[in-house]
Amino acid sequence: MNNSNNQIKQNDTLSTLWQTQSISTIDLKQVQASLSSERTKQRWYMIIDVLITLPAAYVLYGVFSKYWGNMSSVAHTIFYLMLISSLPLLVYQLWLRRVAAFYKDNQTADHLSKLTKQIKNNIKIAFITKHSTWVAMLFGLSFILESYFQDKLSSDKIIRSLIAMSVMSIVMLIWFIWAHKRQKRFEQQLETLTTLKARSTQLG
Amino acid sequence: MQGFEDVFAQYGALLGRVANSYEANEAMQQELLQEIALAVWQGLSRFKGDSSVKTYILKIAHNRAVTHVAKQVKRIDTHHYSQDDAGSDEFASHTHSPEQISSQHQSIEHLLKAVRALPLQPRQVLTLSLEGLSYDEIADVCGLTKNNVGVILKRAKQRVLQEQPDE
Repeated sequence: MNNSNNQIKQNDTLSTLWQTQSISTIDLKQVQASLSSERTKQRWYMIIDVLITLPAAYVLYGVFSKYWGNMSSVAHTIFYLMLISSLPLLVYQLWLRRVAAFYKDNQTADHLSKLTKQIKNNIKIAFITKHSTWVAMLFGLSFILESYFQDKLSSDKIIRSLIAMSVMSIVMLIWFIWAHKRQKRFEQQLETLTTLKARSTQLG
Repeated sequence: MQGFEDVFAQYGALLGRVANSYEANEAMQQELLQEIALAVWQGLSRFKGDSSVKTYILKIAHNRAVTHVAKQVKRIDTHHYSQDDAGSDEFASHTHSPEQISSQHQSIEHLLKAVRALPLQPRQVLTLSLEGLSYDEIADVCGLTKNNVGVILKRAKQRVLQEQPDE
């Protein structure tokens, strides 16, 4: 009986103590500003997502409407290989993004597992992005080599192709480093969450 | 439904305590509180009235805090921060002597340290209980069974009480 009374007293003390801690106050103006900038950011992401498909669509249109008839069977094969390798990857990336895209206000245990899944997917997306850079370079090089061996390249065109490949390699290198850093960051996030989860299991 | 400003006026302190249970550093607490407030603001538009506003925003707040902790990869381990330099001192009362205030300050520090040292789930269950939520409400917020809540809460309280200095 005494033990039980002591426990109730301790619980009450704990609750009272908890309620009396000093707290920060919400800056409503800053919240409003963040909300507005968040909306703007999301709209820009949508615009960029649409814009990013335009160069690819332009290249596809150009290839099919202007050059397809003049391209050799080797160039056709390279082009098909490029489509076959990139389209499933694109669909797979969209599939991985679904966890973040269709997020709801979950219970806390569910949130933890969804967040873990989302971070794992982000690692995969960063990995795919990272390695798509050198694959893109390989395809670019394949097209140039194909033209070269088919004697379609004049010396002027060779120089232009080399310049284009150099610019492309710099862009792809920057992209590779950026994706690699993202992959590492998500791996660290996953490690943090795994630690939190493991500790939860021990006591829970 | 209540307006955002009313919600923050009524539950701002509660959200502040959620932030405190994850971050010890004052600047990080403020940052997390702002993130929580933003998430609550966005979440309130999706509120369908299936639960009370209090449990709904607590669910959002804890989820946001977990995401925040996970994303602070290069975070300083704020458990090692002392809060002696904490700015406001809202619990200080003119009716208490400086010794009493100092003692209360220390007790709160011990409590917060012990809560932050708890694993995630017991920490959430305990702090929700300290906010006055019933077992049913805690089970709803955390996605646990009522029995599980009881077991986790009991162990978490024991651990926290062990860390409290004797009066």
